[in-house]
Amino acid sequence: MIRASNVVYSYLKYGRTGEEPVSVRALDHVDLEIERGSFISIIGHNGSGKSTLAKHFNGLLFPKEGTVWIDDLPTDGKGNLAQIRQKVCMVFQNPDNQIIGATVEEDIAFGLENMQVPTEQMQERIDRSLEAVGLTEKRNENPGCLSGGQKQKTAIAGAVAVSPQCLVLDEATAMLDPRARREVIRVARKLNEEEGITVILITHFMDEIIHSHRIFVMDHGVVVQSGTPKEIFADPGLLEQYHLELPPVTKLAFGLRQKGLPLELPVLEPEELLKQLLRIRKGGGAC
Amino acid sequence: MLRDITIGKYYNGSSLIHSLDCRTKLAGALLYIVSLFFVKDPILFIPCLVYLLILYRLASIPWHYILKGLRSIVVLLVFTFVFQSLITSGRELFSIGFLSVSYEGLMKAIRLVSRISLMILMASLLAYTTTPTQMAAGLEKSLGFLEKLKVPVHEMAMMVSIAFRFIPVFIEEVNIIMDAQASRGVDFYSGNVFRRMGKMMPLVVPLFVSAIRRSAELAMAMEARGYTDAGNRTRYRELIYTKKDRTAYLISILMFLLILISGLLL
Repeated sequence: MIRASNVVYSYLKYGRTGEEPVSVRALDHVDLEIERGSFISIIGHNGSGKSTLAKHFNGLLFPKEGTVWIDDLPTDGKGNLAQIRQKVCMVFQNPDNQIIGATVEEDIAFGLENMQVPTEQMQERIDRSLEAVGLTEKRNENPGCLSGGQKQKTAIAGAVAVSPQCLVLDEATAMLDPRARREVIRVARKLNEEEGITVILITHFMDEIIHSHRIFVMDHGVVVQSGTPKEIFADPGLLEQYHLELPPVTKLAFGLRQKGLPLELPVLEPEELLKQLLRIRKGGGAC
Repeated sequence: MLRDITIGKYYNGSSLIHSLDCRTKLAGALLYIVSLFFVKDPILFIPCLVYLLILYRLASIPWHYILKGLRSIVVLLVFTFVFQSLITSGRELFSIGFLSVSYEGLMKAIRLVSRISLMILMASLLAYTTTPTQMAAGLEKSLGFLEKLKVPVHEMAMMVSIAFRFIPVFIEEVNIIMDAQASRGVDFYSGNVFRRMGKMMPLVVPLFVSAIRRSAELAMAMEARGYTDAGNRTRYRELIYTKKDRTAYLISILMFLLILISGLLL
């Protein structure tokens, strides 16, 4: 679906007037491949380059060196941008700064209008995407009156209406409260499982990524680790090295293990921890 | 002050007037406002008012909204009335000290005040029944012929509708910044006008910074959603005239001619 080979991106950073601008390398020879239909997470601390990478997937930024391929289209800014943006849609961090329409419906229509979808098809597509995110009864509301989570779901619906193959959530949950965050992640997972849309989740909340098929860890513009959640969370020292934390449950399980409980690590979900604890109790384990 | 601003006067409803094409409403309102300039005899304003009240009824807008529309210009109306009656010379009706009110002055004052009030009421009706987006779309289509003269009509309509979209966002932002500054001891409400204006500076600068940041983000989001400057887009809601619009046009033009002719004759 998406392939990045040897991608370098740098920009000039201007200091105070009179100082020479310095070149900052935001992406440093990034190689990665994302399979169609998978749920991918990219994690990393602030400034690790994860958002910069995401913007390459949709042709908002072009690599200075190397190439990003969307299916077989290189994102080099030569004419195939419209196609790329139809294949890969993005949802950004601040819901207020990405909603254009005066009503939920009108906002979802914005992308369709840009893609020159015929007017007759729009209603059906809007209906479907509203249903997919569960906002059907809010269709005529002013987006300004919705909650943060509902605004983000509006943005997701706007992306889904274009029927993309891939949805990039660029820290789309960062400004939401925990409940709204879970809700947005639930919608993203549903789209991934039911509609087969490839989801790329960019976040620094570790509990959101435990269900991903694959995780990429970024640090200083480099993909430093990749693997399944079990692989990534197997070594707490590794994440610490990149200023990242384990999900709370995983951390708890580590603590318990250190205290002598024979748990199978890493534990990602509360239910899993509970199951293991019950098994230990039944078997009359160490405690 | 800033907290009390309510913009977006749109009154959500599904009345006959709401369902009209916004170009029809725009044309109707314009014709009405123009015709008011031909009315000389104050008596004629009564049928004009009746027509307007019927339209308000048809739009199912509560009566107190009519007064709400006028409240903001009450000072202007009183001012106009007093000055017009005082400065116009003619047959004296009565006088208080050195001030005298003439018959002509009084008539002129009534005429002006009625004209301004009716104009504002008609414009409010338009705002009550049409969303800013509809208005922008209507203007875009009506002025579409200007595209041929290289006037960027589409871009301007897009800017207008985005500006409307962001008014509530910025009002909220102003409130947040004001609270933040007030919590650090800025007193926005005391001192003379110049002092208070000076105190607005710590409000204006962060607001500008955030507005610029927001617009950059919005532009990126729009680009990501496939918006280009080529302008070849399709439309979700096509503006199409229906039978209702034709009838409304007919009534508006009839009313216009009626007021015009009676205004010229009387």
